[in-house]
Amino acid sequence: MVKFLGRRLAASAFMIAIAATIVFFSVHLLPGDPVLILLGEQGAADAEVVARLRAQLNLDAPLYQQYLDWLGGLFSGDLGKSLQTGLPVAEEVLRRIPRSLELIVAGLAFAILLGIPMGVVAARRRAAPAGLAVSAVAVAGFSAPVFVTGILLVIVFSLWLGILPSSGYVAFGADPLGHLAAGLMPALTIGINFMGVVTRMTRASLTEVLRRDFVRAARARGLSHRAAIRRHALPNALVPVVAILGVRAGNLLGGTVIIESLFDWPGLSSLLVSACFARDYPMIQGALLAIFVLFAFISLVADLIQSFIDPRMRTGR
Amino acid sequence: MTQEALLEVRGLATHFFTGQGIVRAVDGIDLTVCRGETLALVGESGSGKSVASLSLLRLVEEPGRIVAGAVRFAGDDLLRLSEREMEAVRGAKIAMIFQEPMTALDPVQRVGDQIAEGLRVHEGLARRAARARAVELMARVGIPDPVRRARAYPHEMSGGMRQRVMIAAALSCDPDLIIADEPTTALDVTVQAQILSLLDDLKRESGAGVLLITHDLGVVAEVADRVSVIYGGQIVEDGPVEQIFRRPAHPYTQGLIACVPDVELPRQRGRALQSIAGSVPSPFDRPDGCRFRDRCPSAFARCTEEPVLVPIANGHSARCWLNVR
Repeated sequence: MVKFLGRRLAASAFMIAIAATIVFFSVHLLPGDPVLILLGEQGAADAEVVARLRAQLNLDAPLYQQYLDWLGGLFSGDLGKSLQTGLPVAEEVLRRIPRSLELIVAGLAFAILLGIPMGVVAARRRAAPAGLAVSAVAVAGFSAPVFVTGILLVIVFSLWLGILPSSGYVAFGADPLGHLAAGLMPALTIGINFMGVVTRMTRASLTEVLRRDFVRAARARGLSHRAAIRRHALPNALVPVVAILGVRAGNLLGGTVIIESLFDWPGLSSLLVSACFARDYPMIQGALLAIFVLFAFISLVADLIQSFIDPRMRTGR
Repeated sequence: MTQEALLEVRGLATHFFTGQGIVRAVDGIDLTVCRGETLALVGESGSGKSVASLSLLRLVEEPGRIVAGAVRFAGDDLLRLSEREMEAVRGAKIAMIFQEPMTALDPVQRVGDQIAEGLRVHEGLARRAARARAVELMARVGIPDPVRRARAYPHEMSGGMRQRVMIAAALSCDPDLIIADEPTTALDVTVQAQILSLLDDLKRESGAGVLLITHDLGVVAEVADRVSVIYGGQIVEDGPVEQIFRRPAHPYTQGLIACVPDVELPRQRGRALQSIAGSVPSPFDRPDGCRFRDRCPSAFARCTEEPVLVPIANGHSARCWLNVR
């Protein structure tokens, strides 16, 4: 297990190093000049001003020099300063990470707590009304685009019932309850979409596992159908579900753009979007890198959970 | 041999209600297993032998259903028990060993815990005590270093060891009857003999009855006391093992015995391997009368009538018109 963890950590570090490189070069390939954007039309007319600012921002150095500076900065936790605000990128990114992460974690928790039992019901009673109803809810959940789900939630909870704010962000420290109220709908939007995925995956995987001999063997040992599912079929069925969830949750980091802008939630995705519009290179790099690191972390966690369930994963077989 | 009957199956029928029609997989079979005796249920694949064994434990899955018959065991008709009562029989009074020890063991659970599971369910043992018993059972079935192996996962063991694990799990609650469904088919020949003699020893020690499901007459000759031959969902011949091998009365049984290659003598040049012509008829399209008549070398006019099981000698009977003169 320790060996497995070590190998897995090394792989993550390697992946992040490659990601840092790709991030740097792809950002610099973006069309558009940050200096011109920063100065606006009038300032950009003066060539001398442009050159001065370029030197000040270290954008006149050769690309390889900038790359080395960026890598060097990484090791000391320095991601540069925002071209827009002049504030350290690392600080801004670190402030945003927990905001995005809490939406994803809350959404995942909701999806798992509801999706797995729903998947079990759907697998056990495939042809019965209960199973069909569950499957219908699941399909609706994951096939509705997130902005539709989000808008529907706003209509119900903010416009009709008036119990939740339609958008905005409240710091936890300032008003814990207000923070939770503001975060509930964006988290739920993610959760409903995920719940559909979890339900469908659990249903498909469990249906397949229920046909296997060891479930029948467990029944032959005197276990009830329910106990055979709980002790044998479900753990086996969840291995692929966790794998898919890890990938999907990782993808969400960059994919919450719609949700974060719909609910005006200042997370990583919205930071990335605004930085792109401003050609704020250091900020784009910082946000992208943070997304990569979190992605690596989430897939590490998913792998660990999988190998915890399935001993065959640990030996790499 | 006037022993106490442990299991008496009468007229058991299990049909599958599929979209294409009704499959009469098991079509009215009688079986009797006595205490301390091994009954071999012999048949080709598709003959209904595995469905029959699952029917005894009422583990047939949809679209299969037991439609008729009685399974008398320890004074009860198992077919009339509630599901809850049936769960108390499975694993405790009747245990089952499956064909494929790889797929019949849960890949993500330690083998010791799987062996202990029956004890926890039926005898309410705590985890610790059940694990200790699992280690004892593993030692009893000849698994070396059982303390360490109890913590292994199925994929870390060889096929023979996995089958020993299955046997240990089956023995855990001291069952009166063990159903072994092709227990050696998936194993290497050398390991087969070990597993068979292990099963035989354990049967002798415990006095349990064994219902051995197999297609392998070599296995039958080695361990069975009595034999029931199943074809097309019906018993076509049954009797003591010596009788069946010395004087098989049904052409199907004769064919099966002729098919066993003779290893003792080098095969004479030019003598081909024997086989039975044709294959098991599709259960949707069985011939009327005798179900074997399309493949039977001795078929005659009367075979279009449905034959009945007629006694030939003491304890030996066959379902064939050739024996009715």
